[in-house]
Amino acid sequence: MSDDGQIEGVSFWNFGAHVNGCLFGAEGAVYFALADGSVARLADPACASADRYGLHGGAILCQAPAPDGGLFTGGDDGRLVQLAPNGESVDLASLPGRWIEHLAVSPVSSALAMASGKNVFFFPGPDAEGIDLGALPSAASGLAFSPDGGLLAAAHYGGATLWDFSGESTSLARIALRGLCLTPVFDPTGRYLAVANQEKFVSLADLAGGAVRELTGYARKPLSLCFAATADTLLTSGNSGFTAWDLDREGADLPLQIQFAQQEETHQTTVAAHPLFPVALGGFSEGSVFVAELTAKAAIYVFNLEAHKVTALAWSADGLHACGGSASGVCFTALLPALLGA
Amino acid sequence: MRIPVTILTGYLGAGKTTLLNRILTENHGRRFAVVVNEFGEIGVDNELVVGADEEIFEMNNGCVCCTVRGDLMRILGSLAKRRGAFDAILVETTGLADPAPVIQTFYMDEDTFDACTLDSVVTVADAANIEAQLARGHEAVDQLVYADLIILNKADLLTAAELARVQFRVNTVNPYARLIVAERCNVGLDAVLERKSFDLTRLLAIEPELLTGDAAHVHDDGIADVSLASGVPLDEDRFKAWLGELLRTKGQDILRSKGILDVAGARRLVFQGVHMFSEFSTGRPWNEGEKRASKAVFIGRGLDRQALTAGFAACAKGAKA
Repeated sequence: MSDDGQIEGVSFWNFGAHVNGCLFGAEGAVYFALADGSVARLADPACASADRYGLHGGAILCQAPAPDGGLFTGGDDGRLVQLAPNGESVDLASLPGRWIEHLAVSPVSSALAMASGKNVFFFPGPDAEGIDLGALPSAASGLAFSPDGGLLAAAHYGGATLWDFSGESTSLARIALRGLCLTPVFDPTGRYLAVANQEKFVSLADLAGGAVRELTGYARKPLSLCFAATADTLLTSGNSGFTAWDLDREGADLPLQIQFAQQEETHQTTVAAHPLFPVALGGFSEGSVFVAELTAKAAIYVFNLEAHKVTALAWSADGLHACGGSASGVCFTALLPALLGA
Repeated sequence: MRIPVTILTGYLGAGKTTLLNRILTENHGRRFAVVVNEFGEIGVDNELVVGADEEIFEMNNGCVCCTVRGDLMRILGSLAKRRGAFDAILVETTGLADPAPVIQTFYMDEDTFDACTLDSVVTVADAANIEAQLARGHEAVDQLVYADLIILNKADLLTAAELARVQFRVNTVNPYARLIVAERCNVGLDAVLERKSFDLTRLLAIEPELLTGDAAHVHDDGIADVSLASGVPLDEDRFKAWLGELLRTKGQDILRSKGILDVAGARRLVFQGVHMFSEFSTGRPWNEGEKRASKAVFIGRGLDRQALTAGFAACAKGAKA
């Protein structure tokens, strides 16, 4: 860190609105989706100025990267919008009077899914008409595609619904889970589906064997989930530090929970695993950002987003850059070496 | 800063929407986000009017009364991201809604609790029909029981004698709520908004009726309220253990509970509960020379007054365990 408080390789921004999510576009730009309905775009992580695009009449509630660059956003104005890298935007769907709350994009194709209340819509491609997959038992609380794009999972009260697109016709299966299920996440191999739960646990469904384990030991709802690049560790928010579940325990019935880098009077709100290395970023309720080395189960403090809750963290696909944002609109972009050497 | 939320409830046709439209159109300098069930009924063009599909979820503890509104958790969580665009939130329930899951959402969901604070439960009652509605089923009863403000609307449709009878009837269901008689919901909005009724630190200031002493009233709708008092300081740990066990075993029938307690400390210990949920806080300090006392109120169905009285008395410091 320099004498004037600057950290080499880290840039800070303030976009003045709650950051609902952030992501790296396929073209290398950085996007911050904001609750004032706009998107802030940095042409590259080190650029000096941001472009701002007012896309929604209300708040942006969900966002996902578009396959050819740019991003998709869903809002409480009932619109699904695509922002292209050249700044042009187009409406892909409109559900007047409803909220579009969740989006997921296939990792391997241009397929897109969105959820509004109980209804989930599947778009085979951005130019294709959305297919209504039918009503869930209750409102969707999260969507995720499997790594091969063959499965789409929607979390809801009482479990998760899985649509299988790999066959000639779409089939549907339902995993019964207790209570209100939240964020669903597939592991990199596609074997496990982790689903956060309202009541402070995570359900880990083994899609190959059918077993479901409940991972308990949380102070708060573990809303943010991700798998380490090595697929052997599930990371979640919900405690005062990093929470890692070691999934690779031969002969053990339950994964082992390891908490590390616990902090006082705060809790982790967001966690993002590096796409290639055993490294993760963790964001906390009082604005601090830590970088963790997962093999050593240790983390170091990097910086603080002006004491505002960290609401979003993301890595670029090549793992060289990270970005994040907070409830007040304070955001950052950072180079990996800057994070590790801070 | 948590966003204050006012719950607006009442039986079908009582006048909730009339009150809501008044709040949204009158020049009071406040901006509201509104969560409604009947999207088309609001005659106001407001981008912050949100339609809700009532989704009541049971918690995993197996208790049927531990329910929350899943839709509210999502909506309030999203609205909280737009803090600054409005000053407060109004939530209108359906005409047949049980207010308990709405109230419990604020205490059982940590994210809702962090973002919002339950300001008050306002129940609009149709003066001409409330007696029949109370006789018809538990919905109207529950809506009155959970209220901290009852607007007895359409009073112009009754004679003075009829109105007095209805007021008495409403008061027997919930003697602890403030009652305002109104025509076409013509109440001063200052009386409706920013009441801070669920702020435990204000419990004494807003409910002086709590200090009226031991009493029990059983009404013909099966609802009873039991008021307990003690001039002997209570043992805090013992009281918390007793209340916890009471709500765990009888919480399904205890709709509301609240109290102001002397635990021989410098400040009052205050609590409130809805079904099995309860919260404690430290209240105002006792003044020097002030007469100390403990008061607790339980409203519910099938309450055993004798058992409650005995249990409460056993919480006194020095009482035999």
